Amino acid sequence: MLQAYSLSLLIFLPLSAAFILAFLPKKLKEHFKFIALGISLIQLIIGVYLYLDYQPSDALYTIEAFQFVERVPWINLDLQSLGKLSAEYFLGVDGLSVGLVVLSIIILLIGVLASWNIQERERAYFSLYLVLNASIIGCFVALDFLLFYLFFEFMLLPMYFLIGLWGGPRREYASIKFFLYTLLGSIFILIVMIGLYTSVIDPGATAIELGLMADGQPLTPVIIDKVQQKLQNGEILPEQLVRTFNMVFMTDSGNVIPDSFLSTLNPQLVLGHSARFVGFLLLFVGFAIKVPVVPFHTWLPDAHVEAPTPISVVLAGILLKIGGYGLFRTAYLMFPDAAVHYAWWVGLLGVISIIYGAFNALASRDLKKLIAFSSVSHMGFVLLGLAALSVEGVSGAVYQMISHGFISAALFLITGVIYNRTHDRLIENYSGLASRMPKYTVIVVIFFFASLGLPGFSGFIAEILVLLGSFGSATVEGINLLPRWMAVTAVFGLVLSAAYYLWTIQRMFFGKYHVKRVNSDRIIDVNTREFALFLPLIVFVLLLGIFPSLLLDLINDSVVTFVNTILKF
Amino acid sequence: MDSLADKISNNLTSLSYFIPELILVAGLLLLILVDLLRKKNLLFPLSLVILALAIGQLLVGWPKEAHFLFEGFVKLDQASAAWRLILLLGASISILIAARGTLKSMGEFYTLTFGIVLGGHLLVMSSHLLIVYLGIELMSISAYALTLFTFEKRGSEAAVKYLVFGAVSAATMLYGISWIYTLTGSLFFLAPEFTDALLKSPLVPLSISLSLIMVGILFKSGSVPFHVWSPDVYTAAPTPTVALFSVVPKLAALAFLAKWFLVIHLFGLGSINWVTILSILAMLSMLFGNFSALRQQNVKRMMAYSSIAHTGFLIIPIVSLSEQATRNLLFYAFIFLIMNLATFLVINFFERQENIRNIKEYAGMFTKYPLLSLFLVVLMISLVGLPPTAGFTAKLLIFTSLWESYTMAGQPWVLALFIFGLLNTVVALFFYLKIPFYMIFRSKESQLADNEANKYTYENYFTGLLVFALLVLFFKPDWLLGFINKINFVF
Repeated sequence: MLQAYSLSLLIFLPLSAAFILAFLPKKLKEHFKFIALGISLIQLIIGVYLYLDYQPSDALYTIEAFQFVERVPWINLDLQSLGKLSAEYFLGVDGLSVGLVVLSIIILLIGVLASWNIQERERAYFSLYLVLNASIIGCFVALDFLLFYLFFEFMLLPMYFLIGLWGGPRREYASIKFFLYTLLGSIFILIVMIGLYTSVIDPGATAIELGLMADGQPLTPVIIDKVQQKLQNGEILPEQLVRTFNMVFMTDSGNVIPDSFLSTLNPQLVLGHSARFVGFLLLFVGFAIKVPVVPFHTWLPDAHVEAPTPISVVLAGILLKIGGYGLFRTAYLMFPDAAVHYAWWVGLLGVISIIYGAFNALASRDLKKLIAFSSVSHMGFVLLGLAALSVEGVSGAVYQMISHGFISAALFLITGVIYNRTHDRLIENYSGLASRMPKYTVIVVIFFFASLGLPGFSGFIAEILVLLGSFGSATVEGINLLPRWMAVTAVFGLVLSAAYYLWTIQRMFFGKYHVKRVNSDRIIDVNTREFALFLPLIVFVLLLGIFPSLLLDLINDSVVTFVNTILKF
Repeated sequence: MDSLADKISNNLTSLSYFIPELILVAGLLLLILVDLLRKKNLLFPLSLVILALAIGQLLVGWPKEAHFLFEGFVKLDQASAAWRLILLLGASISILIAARGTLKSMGEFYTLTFGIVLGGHLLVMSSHLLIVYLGIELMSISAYALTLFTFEKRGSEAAVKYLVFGAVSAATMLYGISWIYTLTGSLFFLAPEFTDALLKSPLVPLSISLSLIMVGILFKSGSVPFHVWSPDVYTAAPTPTVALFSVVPKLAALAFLAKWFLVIHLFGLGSINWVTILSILAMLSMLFGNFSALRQQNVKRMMAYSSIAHTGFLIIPIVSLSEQATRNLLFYAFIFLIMNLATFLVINFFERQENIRNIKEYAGMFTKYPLLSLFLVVLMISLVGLPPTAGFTAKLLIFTSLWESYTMAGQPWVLALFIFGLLNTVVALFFYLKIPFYMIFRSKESQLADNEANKYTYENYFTGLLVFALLVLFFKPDWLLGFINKINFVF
């Protein structure tokens, strides 16, 4: 039961809770947060089960490579001369996504706890939060492009309202900017989605159309081969083609209709580039906005600075990872030829993000802005590792996404602590806080060190893997995809991050106690509830730093498959 | 067939296929009579009954094959039956919107609405250019009068503007038709001889005459560059009328354009590339519609520009030129009908209840009318074309057919339209979101919630129903598309 429906449960529990919340009487408003918390705890149980029950597998990209699979027909349209069109309710996880699902569950739980003091419009807040919860999980587990797109877009609206209603002074500007940027990105994704689903067939359903197998029979590799051969030889009538949104089938180039637009054989050029390359670039930009990659990052500092603390936590902890995950799942796996072709440019953008983000962080006067830019910088490592296309690099990229999920969540909680007390985040207004807030200082030091990549913390493992990967990036036709100087420059980014973190610690926490423009009575140390938020994060960051196999075992096989799939192309 | 008796018998048999329209004509006369007898209360239920009868009769007599009626002036086929169904639904919902308000007891409103529907029916069924002209004029004249019904200075100004523009465009069209007659010697535009004659016609007179006819169609569909009347009319006319205008004449004109476009496209053999011309016009409609809407303060004026932009989207399946695209056009038209009318229903409610005309005045309405505001958010999302609403599915379908058409023919302007159309969504988001923005983000302290009284209004139920339909059709588009797929398009 749990095996068969665990992923659906993860999505529909928060969704139905949001619906119930909307109809509860107002006098129960003190209890709304307990509902949200309860849902998150149930999700946590399912998450633990997912983590324990997931069996690493190195199966190739077929449906069998995924676990906890749920596959139900959803939309079946008969487009007659264009053949048939099928979209499915298709969920499943592999090594690339299972860790991110567990991460999301934990961060969302911490987000609920961080929202404990929300005092206005609790009903709306927690309903929107639960909808956000459902769509985030949905994004990571959806294996049908239409379903993925649905969740991807569905995330925007709750986020828009959460920033716009409970945010800081410039929240309206920030929320609309966030919405427009992401929507622009998702339009690019939509363009490619239309191109893809008109070009890719579902071999199983097409086999049924052709009479090669009966309905309900399991799809065997033999049948797939037969269908693909017929397809490539042009022996299938247009009316018999069943076009699909299935991301797994989109990954297999054998399923691409030979004379279709996104076929490798298509000689047509779009703006002087092959259609597949343009498709890759559009997907890349679409997700790069979400990651965010410099120069598409300008919404992020605004959104972070204005968002309420728990939303910043979710935004940095998970939402940015959806961008990274989207690159893995769609752009790279569906256009491996273009991924190799553009590796240098992707790597370059990664390095630019690392350096540019770090310099901006160094120049930030607002603590939250500093951390937002450090996010840009650290997400650059994801891009660099991905561009390297070596097993170490890609593992490092996945590892960095999860490690950064925990660390950035903690960093935004840290700014939340100080902002709650004084409503001021300017670094220059504080000095010598260590004497008044010793526990807080310890927490800050731990997470700053974790973030700058001190050995023993998760960030170290992730960044060392990425750097190793990019030094020894994959070779295609005897040439390394990434030149050495990129890795060297990325190391310089680490030095910069050490600089801005240490300088911040020195300015805010060391020296003589002194605050400016802030009521000194409010400077009190973290309370038990706040401490309870940090504790699990410290544990995870240390665990992942000391026992990397906890996560690497989970992702390794899938990463090997991922790299092989792309390089064999 | 030449004898008078034959002609009469042909026309009489034709009448038996023409029952929905006869019901409309009879109903129209009946409504005038009832109005004269001062039975104002009867008008509303009676008009709904007549429309329901017409819809029922249309469904009962759903054509199995195409017939030419009235000696070939009118062609009855499944596609035109589907369009007539859409027009009748549009009129019914518009009358239901008027159920609350001053228009309800106004006999002229109903008779003129029926006039518009009748004109629309003629237009979508036409196979002769004079019937086209007749249909357009019937719709237009009714529409001029309907614009007036606020009896304010603005209303008369808009009506006069509409009249002048309309008369000029109709005259232009008629002039074009006369040119066509000199070229082809016939106005039965569905006949093969007509196409042959067009193919043989010299380029210059042909392009002039076809362009002149296009003016009339574009005017009625509210497309750039003949859209200038619509913002004024939308602002000044009573809201239920605007709802009607935004759907019935527009969709009728576009349904005709879909048919006419196939004729003038001449199987791609013609010397004028109409695909490019209409693609550019569609892009311009989106551009002007969306960017002008950004700056609007008045809700109805914003909706006018939004509907200009939607005309651009509705042209997309027309230039895609495939049978499937025509089906997608029907799907989009149906979804557009639901979301646009539902939006006007909400606008009408706020206008009547709170005397709200400007977007800014929606501030704080969320606390007072939470449910209706929520519905409006869904409607705006649907108008933008985002999931999980049928607005997204409709856009996905039309862009799919456009994409297919690009991959088949590879026309660069079609690709431009594809990309430009999708990017327009981002612009559209900005202004559609303005209303929910004011409703939810800008609260007024004085707007205390008297929720209980506002929970069970007529508008809540009705909008809820339409919004529900939009959501259901996102998750199960097969249901509507399955029905549309059964329609046989024989050209």
